[in-house]
Amino acid sequence: MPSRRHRLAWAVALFLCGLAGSRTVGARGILPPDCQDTTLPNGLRVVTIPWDSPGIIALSTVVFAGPRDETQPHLIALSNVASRLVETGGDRSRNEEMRRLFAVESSVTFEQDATVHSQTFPSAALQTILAEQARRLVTPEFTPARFRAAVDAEVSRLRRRLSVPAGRADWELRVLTSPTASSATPGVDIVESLEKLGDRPAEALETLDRWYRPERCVLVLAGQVEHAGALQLVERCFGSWKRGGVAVDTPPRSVSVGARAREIKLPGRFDAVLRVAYPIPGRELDDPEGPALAALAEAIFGATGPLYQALVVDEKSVADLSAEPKSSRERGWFTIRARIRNPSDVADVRSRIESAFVTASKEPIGRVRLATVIDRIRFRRLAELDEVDGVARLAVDSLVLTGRHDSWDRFFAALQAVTPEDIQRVSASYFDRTRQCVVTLVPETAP
Amino acid sequence: MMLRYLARLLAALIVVLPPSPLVTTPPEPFEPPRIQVGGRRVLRPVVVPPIRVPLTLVPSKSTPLLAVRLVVQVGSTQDPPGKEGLAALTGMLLAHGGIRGATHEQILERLYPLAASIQVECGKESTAFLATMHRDNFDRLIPTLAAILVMPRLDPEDFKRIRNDVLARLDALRTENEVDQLASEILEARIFQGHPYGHSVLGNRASIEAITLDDVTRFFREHYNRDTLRIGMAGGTASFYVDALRSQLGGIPQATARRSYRIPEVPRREGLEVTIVEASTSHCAITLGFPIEVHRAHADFSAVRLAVAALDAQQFGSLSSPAGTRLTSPISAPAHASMEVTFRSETVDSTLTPEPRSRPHFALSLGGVRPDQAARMLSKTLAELDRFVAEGLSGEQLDAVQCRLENTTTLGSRRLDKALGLAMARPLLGRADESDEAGGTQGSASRDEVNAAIRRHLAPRGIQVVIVSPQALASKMATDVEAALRDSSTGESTAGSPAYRSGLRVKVLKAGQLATR
Repeated sequence: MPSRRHRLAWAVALFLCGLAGSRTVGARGILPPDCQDTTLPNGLRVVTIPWDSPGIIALSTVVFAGPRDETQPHLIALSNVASRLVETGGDRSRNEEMRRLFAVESSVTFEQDATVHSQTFPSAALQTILAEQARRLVTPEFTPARFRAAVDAEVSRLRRRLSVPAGRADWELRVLTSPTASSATPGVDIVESLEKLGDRPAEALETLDRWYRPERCVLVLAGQVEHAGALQLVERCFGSWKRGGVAVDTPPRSVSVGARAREIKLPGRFDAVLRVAYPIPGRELDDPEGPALAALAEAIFGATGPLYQALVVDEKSVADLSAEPKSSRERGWFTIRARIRNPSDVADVRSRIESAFVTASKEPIGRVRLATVIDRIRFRRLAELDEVDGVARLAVDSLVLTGRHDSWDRFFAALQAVTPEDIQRVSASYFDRTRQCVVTLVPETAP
Repeated sequence: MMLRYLARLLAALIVVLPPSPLVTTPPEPFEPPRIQVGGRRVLRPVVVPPIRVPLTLVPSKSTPLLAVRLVVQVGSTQDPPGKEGLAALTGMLLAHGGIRGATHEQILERLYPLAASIQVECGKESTAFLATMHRDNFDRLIPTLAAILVMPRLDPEDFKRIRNDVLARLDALRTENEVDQLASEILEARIFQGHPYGHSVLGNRASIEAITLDDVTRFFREHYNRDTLRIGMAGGTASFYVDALRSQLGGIPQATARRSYRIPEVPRREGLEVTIVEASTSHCAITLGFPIEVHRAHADFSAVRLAVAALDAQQFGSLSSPAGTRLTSPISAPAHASMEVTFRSETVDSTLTPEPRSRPHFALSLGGVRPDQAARMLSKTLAELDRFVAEGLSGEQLDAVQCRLENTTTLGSRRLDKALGLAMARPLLGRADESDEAGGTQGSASRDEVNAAIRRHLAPRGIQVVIVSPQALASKMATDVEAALRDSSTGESTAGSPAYRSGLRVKVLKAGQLATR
């Protein structure tokens, strides 16, 4: 039976431990502690991030539907068309007017399973912008005629993008890694597929009607914004938005993907473009695997990495080299991008990329070097806090991966814990030639 | 007994507790760190009194980042004749040429884990060195940033590397994608012919090849001193770091002699002078402009700024049509022509922080114009400009543009380094009003004031036009342009015959004849 003194000693100890714990929990996170996240009765979530950006607000509308949900071959690029419909609200002139008056800066980005509409504008325009966004989402007027117009606009945009070698290679890779692709899939004419999509408005609009529902959306407001006031405005604008009621049926996917390759020759003179992608499992931000893959990408392909130094700095055979483990909640892709000066070097570069993974799996990275790489990843990400759009972007990236806006702190903690052995393990686990998706784009005249 | 328990527990907790998390309170007074190379201390700390030079602070409550900007009041206007580009080359060698005790590569290695870099912006009248960092890295980056001004390496090998980079950039200006910039640079050369503004900040091939390392060293010693330096910091706890920054810069010398340099007035030329420049391009770039007196301290600055914004937004909307198309790359599809109206009271490159200019000019540029449409587009553009000057702005147009300009200005300064650059520009040229944007008032002027300013400043007696054209078509274009402009002076223009139309001169410059290249 412990004595009173013992009990008292343990009570003090627990109190001190509590203090220590609360100090850790209360340690300053990446985003301010007064961020708030509220879900409205219709399922729409509203996240506010107060940030010192006088007179400016960044609004991100996250819709949890993206390329990953294009589950039928004829639906390829539907998320792009959808984003265009929402962006213009079916009324280009109105959109132009908003841009002209409020100088609104807007963009759309696509993750595997999400589409993000981002807008930055003067805080005085918040009410107008929210009302306009509600008009686009709550009463979207997705008529067949507007859908056709959006498809046509997207076709022209796509043509322009495909005219640039890097843009073409990225699109080919997107098709190659899409859920409907298989090793037997022949090359897809993306423009042709998209044009055909315009002929099937009913099916496409029905899909969009399921995608664009409040329970699948999050509004992230960063900047000079106060939660209660913002919530009131959002409720007024989006309160009448009805839940979908129909579940979006997206089949689960496995990590096992067979090798796929696409080689394209085009007229003209340009550097060869190489894209190599390996499937990686979907991860939470703080799962050690994700940070280890991020560290591996930086360690090999970053500016001080051995492969980068050899190919880009010393031999100068490669103009650009980078790698990114892009994760999603189900499956991600570790993608390597290279621009190769001489097309005849493509095979060599590809083989050296593969060898780099083998080396990384056998030779452990030095601890000092690993610490440098980890610092680099962390500070590069924190550099986004330079402007309010970057603050919103950080929250959105976290939301898309984990469903929470504030997971970066856990990611950085997990990143800090990555060991040389983790790097070796992931190098040996995922970079198998039999699971590679490769796109090469070379000039026609090249050997 | 219990006390012993407590002592043990406390000792254990002290060991177990993690090191202090990211700074939650303002940092301790800063001790200037030593400069390290590869983890080894090779230099003694600089023990000198903190420098006292003009300081600008832009605090921000939220961000953990700090932006630092060191501006030296020397730019391309002080390039000696025959050595055009010397100021820019000096700035670049300082920023990317290493410091005493550390090579450029060693500095890159040092900055790599910080995900930071030291950048340089070279302008007509100033050179700025800047870096943005997480405040945790202040003591790892600032000594290096300061050292590039206090003890630059000025090594012959680095000099060669940087000079080759500049030559490569000059060559790149000739490629298809840079045609618009080439047109802008030649326009400036034409407008400011015989004036210190009349050459490119980067110089030209011959002048860059003529510059030696001795020239750079001499230029650095002559111009980089306490008289010409201004410093600025922006970010969460910027004020806490000021003394540390001042200390690090303590080694910057006093000026040996007080120099006053005044940019001369711009000589005015009358008439319409069209210069057609041959380049290897498939499409044309057209740009026209003229000098104006309205710098940021001028009473008409706001009015002219509003007028130019209105001109860009409304009057010329119809010109951005698919009429002129171009191939954007070897495997491209057609794209629409682009159009931009600018009031060059600041730097040309919109990605950089505006550098206030004491000798501004007005410019209007059309990009991606199909060669067979170029003469017609130029004629129509001039006619639209004439009409704008004659009719001015309506009250409704002015309200809309005022609102837009205010919003654009607010959004444009949201990045930390940009906000700092704008704040540092504010006191220059006599403007210190907080509501100013980069030293000029943001845009409140009545309709009468704006229309009077339009008539006063946007109706010149002389206009320079530059057309960058495909080589094979330059001569034919000269004929077409001459015909179109002679017709338009009596035809399309509804504004009578403006003064500049009194004399038309068209000439063709071969690729090898470019004065600015």
